[in-house]
Amino acid sequence: MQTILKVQNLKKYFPTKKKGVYVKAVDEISFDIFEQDVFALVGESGSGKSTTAYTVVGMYEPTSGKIFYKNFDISYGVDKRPLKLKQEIQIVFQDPGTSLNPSKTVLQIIGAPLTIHKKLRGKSLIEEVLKLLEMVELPSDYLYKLPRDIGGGEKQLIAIARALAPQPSFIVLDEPTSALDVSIQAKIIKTLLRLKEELKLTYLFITHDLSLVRNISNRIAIMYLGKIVEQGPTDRIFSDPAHPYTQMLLSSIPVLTKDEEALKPKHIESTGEIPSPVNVPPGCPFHTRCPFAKQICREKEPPYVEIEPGRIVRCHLFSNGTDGSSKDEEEVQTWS
Amino acid sequence: MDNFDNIALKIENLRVYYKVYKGVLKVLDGINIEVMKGERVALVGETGCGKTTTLKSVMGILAKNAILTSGKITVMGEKILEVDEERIFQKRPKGVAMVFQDPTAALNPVFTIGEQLDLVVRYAAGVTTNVKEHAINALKLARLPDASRIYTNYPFQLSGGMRQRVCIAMALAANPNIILADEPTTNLDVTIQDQVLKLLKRLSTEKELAMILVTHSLGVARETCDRIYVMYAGTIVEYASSEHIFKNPLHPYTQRLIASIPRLTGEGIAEGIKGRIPDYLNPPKGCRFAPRCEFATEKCFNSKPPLYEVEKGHFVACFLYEKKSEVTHPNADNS
Repeated sequence: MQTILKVQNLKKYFPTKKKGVYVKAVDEISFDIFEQDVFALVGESGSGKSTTAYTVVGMYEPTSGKIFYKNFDISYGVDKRPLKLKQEIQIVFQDPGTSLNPSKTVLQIIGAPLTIHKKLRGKSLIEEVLKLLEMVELPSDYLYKLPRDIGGGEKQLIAIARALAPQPSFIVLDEPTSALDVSIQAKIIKTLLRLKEELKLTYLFITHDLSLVRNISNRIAIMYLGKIVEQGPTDRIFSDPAHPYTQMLLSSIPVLTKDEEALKPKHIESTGEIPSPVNVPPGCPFHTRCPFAKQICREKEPPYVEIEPGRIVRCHLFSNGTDGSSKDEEEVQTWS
Repeated sequence: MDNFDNIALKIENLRVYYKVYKGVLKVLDGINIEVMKGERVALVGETGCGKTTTLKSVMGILAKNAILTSGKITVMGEKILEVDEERIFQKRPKGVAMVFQDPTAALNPVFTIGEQLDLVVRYAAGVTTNVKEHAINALKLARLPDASRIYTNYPFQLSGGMRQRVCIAMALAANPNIILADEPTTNLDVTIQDQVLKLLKRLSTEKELAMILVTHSLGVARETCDRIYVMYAGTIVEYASSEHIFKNPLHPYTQRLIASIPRLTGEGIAEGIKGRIPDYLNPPKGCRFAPRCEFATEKCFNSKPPLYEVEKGHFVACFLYEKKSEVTHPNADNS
């Protein structure tokens, strides 16, 4: 498996009104995405999953850390990126109601990236847009419609077609279905998975919906307050969640069947509130809600521990007595 | 259903239309709902199917352009809405409290939680002495830590989950018999949602509150409620106990909806439902789901299906079950 995107110790801080105080939206995260994988970044609001996505696309410049795309360093903003790179990495946003220009027709919306990247005009442009519409299974009479004449799910399909227009190989999907109803979500996800196979795409899928992720992704990273608390192969994380936060998330999902019920961890119950990212608790940020918190969790940041091949957990429960002082060593082991 | 005294809320043949520039939106098309005392009922449906309109009709807070064309609503045996040919009788129900979807919009940002809660205690519950104590008790009931501090806080000082608990406290402060919860957890994170749902469930059990929970999530409905009503485009298509709905979903819409939900067990993603909800300006003459239904026959397009009781307490509005059941619901005549 070839690595297509490599994120190393990525940090993104935002300044606040108070001098010297930063919102640590993303704080030292590292992950690899393999070619033709669906890598899911899961987390609740304020966990930094969208910030990570935007930094990968280049909408934000990282505070520190590196992002590599096919071994090229791309840790800078989109304005400094070459056109070829922008064409390779595309994004689909959460709310199609606001990500499509309300005064432009579908032809103009999907046509924009085609004129920029492919220098298409006139008849050839229309032909290409029609091809894209066909790819997302929309009829050709949508060409001259405005976003307001189209339903929510179809708008999202237009946004997907627009992302596909420059023929990218990597697409960031930022909660593409969370604004839609489940019956429409199913259609969008089906389309996305089909396109992935047909066009050999790689997805970075941002979501808060663990049940959805279970069905589409190969690997998952779970974020909490700017940190990745656990990452690994999807089936392993669901069959044996290691981090207490992962367990709490899983136990909180409302499910439909007894089989699903059996998969939910029983010994943990959701308590407490998510702390503000401006004021992240010291030590392990999850200790305020963790039923297994010890003294060390309140003082020292937990190390990254590889508990199985490709499975990394950031928790003192797995550090086997090693404290934060050996953190650097652990990290070297894990990320090499 | 046998004993009339046990019914907390009864909605009969409710039709609500909205007058808009383009014409009349025929949204609710003859809704029948019964909630027993102390029972938790879920109203499940997708965006724009009329769930919120149903609750608003009970509370008497429909928008100005709403037109009531038929219906009768009784709360604890007292008539609060009746539409007949000559006039519309309507009054605000007593003992019904509502929790709204967005707690940030439901709370007034320029008053403290205490000031807002005191008003509810004074005027809705009619308490004149020890108002503050009552208010703080309500906050404690909603499991808010440090209730006396929150009493002095402004809404912006609280997190989303806490604000929703304050809204629940406010609903409780009025000593209601029925709580109408309109997607109370849609704006919350999943771990916080879990806490809020457990709180609502516990309170309704402890205080024997009847509850209508409006939600678009079948999972939430199943884990919180005793019975589920499935709504589609302003009609009730199916209702049964939470257990039966999932064990034996009958209506094609319910079946497709349940199949669309991604599972933790990882069975992949289903097809979803083709098409979209009908245009309310000109809704289908027969079954409103017919244009999207794979089993639709000519009959489905021409006449509205009545509710058939397929098994005990399990009703479905679909012609597919016409022959399989003999007893039809007394309210089935929708014309």
